[in-house]
Amino acid sequence: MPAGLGGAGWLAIIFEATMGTYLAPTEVGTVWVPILDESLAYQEDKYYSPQIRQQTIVSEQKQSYYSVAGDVRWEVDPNFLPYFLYCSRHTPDKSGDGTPYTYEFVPSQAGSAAITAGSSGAKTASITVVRNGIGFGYAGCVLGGYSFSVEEGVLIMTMNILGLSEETPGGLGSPAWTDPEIFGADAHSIYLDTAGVAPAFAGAVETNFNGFEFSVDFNAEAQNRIRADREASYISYGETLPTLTTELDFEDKTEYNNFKASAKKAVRFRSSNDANNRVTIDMYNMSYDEYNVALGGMGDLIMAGVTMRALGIAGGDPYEITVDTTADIAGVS
Amino acid sequence: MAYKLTFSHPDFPFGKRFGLTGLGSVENGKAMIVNEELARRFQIRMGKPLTEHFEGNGMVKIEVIKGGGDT
Repeated sequence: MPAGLGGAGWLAIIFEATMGTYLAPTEVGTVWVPILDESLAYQEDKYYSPQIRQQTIVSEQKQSYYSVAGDVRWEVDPNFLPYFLYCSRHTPDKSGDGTPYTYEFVPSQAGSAAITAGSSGAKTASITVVRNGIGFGYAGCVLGGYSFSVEEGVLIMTMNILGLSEETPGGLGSPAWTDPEIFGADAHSIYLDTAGVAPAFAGAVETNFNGFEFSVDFNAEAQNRIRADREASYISYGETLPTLTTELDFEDKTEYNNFKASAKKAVRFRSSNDANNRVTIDMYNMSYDEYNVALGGMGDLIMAGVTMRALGIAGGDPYEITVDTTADIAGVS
Repeated sequence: MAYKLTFSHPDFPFGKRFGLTGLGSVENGKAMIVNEELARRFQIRMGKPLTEHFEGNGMVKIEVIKGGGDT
């Protein structure tokens, strides 16, 4: 086959019935997700035998345990976002009648990835990537972490994906593409409120955020256990670390003093094209981790480099991601 | 020979438009007619006849319509 270009490739995702049992993109329920780039890869630490046998170069290599890992970066589209968030360390919930359906995701304390039936249970996914017409199937996939960021005005998501195994798809089927529903510069709003379990975010829209990045790291790892197989046994989760990074116009010392005083606040980020196409990230109990203000140079604006961290809150959730979409995700109803 | 292609995705609203590479667009839950010329060009582009390409695809149903037809 002659050389190919990335633009001709594609990525498909489908929820699995059994964790780690690969489903090809010919199965009912497959969705084809437009992406910007991906780096999903077979990950194996080959074993090189250090036998001493009158040589200073190893003489044998054996296969070892393996798993799948890599990043997928894409322009957030509410038609597809729930599929990925279902396959992450969240407790999901689905409501609504299609105008729209509302999918809510709050942090869970699961120690490992698993499939739970129904619309309030996490899932695992089979992901197929086609590169130059050649299919790579990845089974048992979940998010090890992710970040939402506004880049050139567009909401972008970068997902770190971990999987259990790699398969060669039995068939590739034929992708079906919907019109893009991405969020541009006029879609985003940020609100602040007092920290609490259900702040109203009723105040005015904030206007001095220069950039936005909400990242969640589940500290996930592929776990290999001794058995007559080399693929990973499961994906474990560690401490969940949600952070918000931005840059603020430095206008007074109020927030600097809040940083020093460890004052808490709530932050809402919302991208909305309309009521049927909306993503809301509510961070209910945020504390400044860093607040750096300096004179960068003669012509530089004086900005505060800010990192905030989402904290647990009694009786509530540290954060919540809500997706409004017309997609009625099969298998979770 | 023409074909009737029906695309049905359970997750998306009836009537939502999907693009199928090499064939044009079809509304979810509805059918499109693929005429002989389009089927011929599809085979050249995809390397397989229409029926073979979608064989085993749970969301695409292909029916043969004798006598051709318009897209």
